[in-house]
Amino acid sequence: MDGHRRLESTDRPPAVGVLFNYHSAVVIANTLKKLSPKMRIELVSSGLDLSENDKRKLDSLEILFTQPNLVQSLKLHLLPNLKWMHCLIAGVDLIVETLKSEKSISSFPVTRNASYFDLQMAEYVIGIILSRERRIADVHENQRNQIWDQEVFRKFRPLTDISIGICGFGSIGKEIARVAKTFGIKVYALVRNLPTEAEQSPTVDEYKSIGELGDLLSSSEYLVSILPCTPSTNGFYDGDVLSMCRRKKTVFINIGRGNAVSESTVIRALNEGWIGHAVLDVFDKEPLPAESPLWSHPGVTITPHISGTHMIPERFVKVALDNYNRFLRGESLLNIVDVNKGY
Amino acid sequence: MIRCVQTEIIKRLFGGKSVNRSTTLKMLSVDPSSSVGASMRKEEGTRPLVGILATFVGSPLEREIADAVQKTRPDIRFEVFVRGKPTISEKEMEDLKSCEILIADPNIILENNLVNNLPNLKWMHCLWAGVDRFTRSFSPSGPYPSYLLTRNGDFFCIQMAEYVFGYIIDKERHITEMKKLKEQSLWKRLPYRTLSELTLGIVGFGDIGKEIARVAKAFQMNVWALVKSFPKDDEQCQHVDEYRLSSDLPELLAASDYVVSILPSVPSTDGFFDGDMLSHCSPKLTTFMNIGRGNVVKDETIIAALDRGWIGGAVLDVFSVEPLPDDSPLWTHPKVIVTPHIAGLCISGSKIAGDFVQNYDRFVKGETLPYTVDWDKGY
Repeated sequence: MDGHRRLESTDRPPAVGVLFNYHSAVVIANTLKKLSPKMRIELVSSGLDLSENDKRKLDSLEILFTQPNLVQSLKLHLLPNLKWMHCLIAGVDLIVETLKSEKSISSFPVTRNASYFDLQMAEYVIGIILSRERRIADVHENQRNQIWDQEVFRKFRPLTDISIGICGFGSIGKEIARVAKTFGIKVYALVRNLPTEAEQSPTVDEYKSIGELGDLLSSSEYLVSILPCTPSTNGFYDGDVLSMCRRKKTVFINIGRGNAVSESTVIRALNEGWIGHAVLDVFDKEPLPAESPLWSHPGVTITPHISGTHMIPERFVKVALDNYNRFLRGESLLNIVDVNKGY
Repeated sequence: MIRCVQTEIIKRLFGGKSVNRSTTLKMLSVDPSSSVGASMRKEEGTRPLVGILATFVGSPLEREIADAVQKTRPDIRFEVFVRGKPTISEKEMEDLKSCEILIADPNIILENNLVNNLPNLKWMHCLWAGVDRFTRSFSPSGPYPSYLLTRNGDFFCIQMAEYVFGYIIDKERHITEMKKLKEQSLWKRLPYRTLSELTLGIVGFGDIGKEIARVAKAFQMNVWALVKSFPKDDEQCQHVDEYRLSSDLPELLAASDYVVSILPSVPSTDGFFDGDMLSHCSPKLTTFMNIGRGNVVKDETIIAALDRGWIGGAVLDVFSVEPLPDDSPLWTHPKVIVTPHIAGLCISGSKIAGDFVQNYDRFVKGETLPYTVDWDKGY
């Protein structure tokens, strides 16, 4: 059972509530209207404080397009008629706890906007790698000093000489593998269950199970973590795990969630020479507090959670629209969140 | 007719799974020098004397190449090893002149007046992709050397693509700016565009251009290519959305968020982008990238185009004069990135050795060699 009802022929299509950050909410609503003129859209307030009017809107809604941080503290009894919630972003960890704790109420499916963010996150990862391998910062430094020095750049590694270990091999991980392969990078993928030969992707050179994490870490010049935030990924890289990166002084890139590794682990791993550098896009607390030692550590690159935050409206709402049509026809929805797994 | 050459790189690109190496050779045109070369080649069974003229002082590269060839193919008479800088001694000159095959940087040959002074030479192989200084040193109608000249046409392709996309993504995703923000402990999200929303115009569509198109398509970019003549249906590159002829350059410039010039240096490309040509870039404030040769655009043209708001930025790896003179305004213009001719620089001695050995075997059999320079075309 998908938990939603088939549309009766006499029914008007249910209204879709949009609860999202202000400017984006308007763009999203307008884009939905443009692509699906018959869709009825209710723009709910995008603030964290809901007015009485907002609550009235929510009360009747059967469909809600939203983002987890805005509904995380929402009492689900405010959504008594909800039949389907779609998260317009990829990471749903903030709402999973709410759903689990209010199990008796939350019998509706939750879907998420997976696949939309894949390519831009892969772009970010390759951009980071290229920027380091081709020493763009040093090139700029030389230009500032008007130094023409070819010799110093002669010995770069072509990407065909390096390996990347991808931890978290969902749709984002697969896209990173595809783009990495475009440049001839050797790809290791960490998976929970090793795929059969028929299921294997041609862009992965070697699959590794969780037990083989050490292998993956010691073989990769770059480690990209796209692990979701779930209880099983808390502190995934903490302790001595990153010491296995020592062989290649792996560069650690985190674009998943900040729970996977603590600040002190990152700093220790850098100071002990386990990892060569850390590129962090996600943190336990965001924005990263000014007093965090990560800001001043030379071995750390900080990016403000931007590996996948650009909205191209028509593409952004594609999964939502596909699912809306499926919902109306009583078909199964795409990218359903498994509340027990947490993604 | 140009046919695609499958290389080692393709094998690596498909996850290490083995792909049959195509033995199709690249034929640029009917090459008069190759038929001359073929007629002068020894019959199978004889062993031509091979030498290498090292380019960079202190660089171990040529030694790596020589060692790799000698080790894997002791049957090859690889007996001459000369350092081209700072000077070549009398004895070394004689050694070079005795070579029938020479691996060399043609510029060093030029500098030492050896162009027409290598009486035994049948085939010179250049380690680099561009041989324009050498080819432009001859008068347009010849006479040309009697030996073959081949160049390293495909080794650099993927590296050039790395360079191009490294700078494009660095710019679009503000990677350099974010370093500066970190220095100030500033958490600030800068809006960005994805490559999938952008158009790349490739001017000069040889193997390097095709490789760049392939990678552009992996990022879902819209790709335009400027060509000398429209390819026939079965020759069209699957990664190109729009082909345009040289006369349509203005249209290509207007459509492109990024333009990459990979044009070789030949008389017809001199000043290709000079004058008002770059004014056509204003609709999208195109970023102009040059990884071909510096003859296509003057320093002053770039500066003027930036200051007039024709182009939004310039990423330049090649220049009319290299090293770029100290007084060039390009060094200090805030919208210009100067890189010291490093887009395709890394060379693997063992890979070059492997390629050379393959060509050597073709040579002694009298077969056509890939990337044989057509003296008339200049590349």
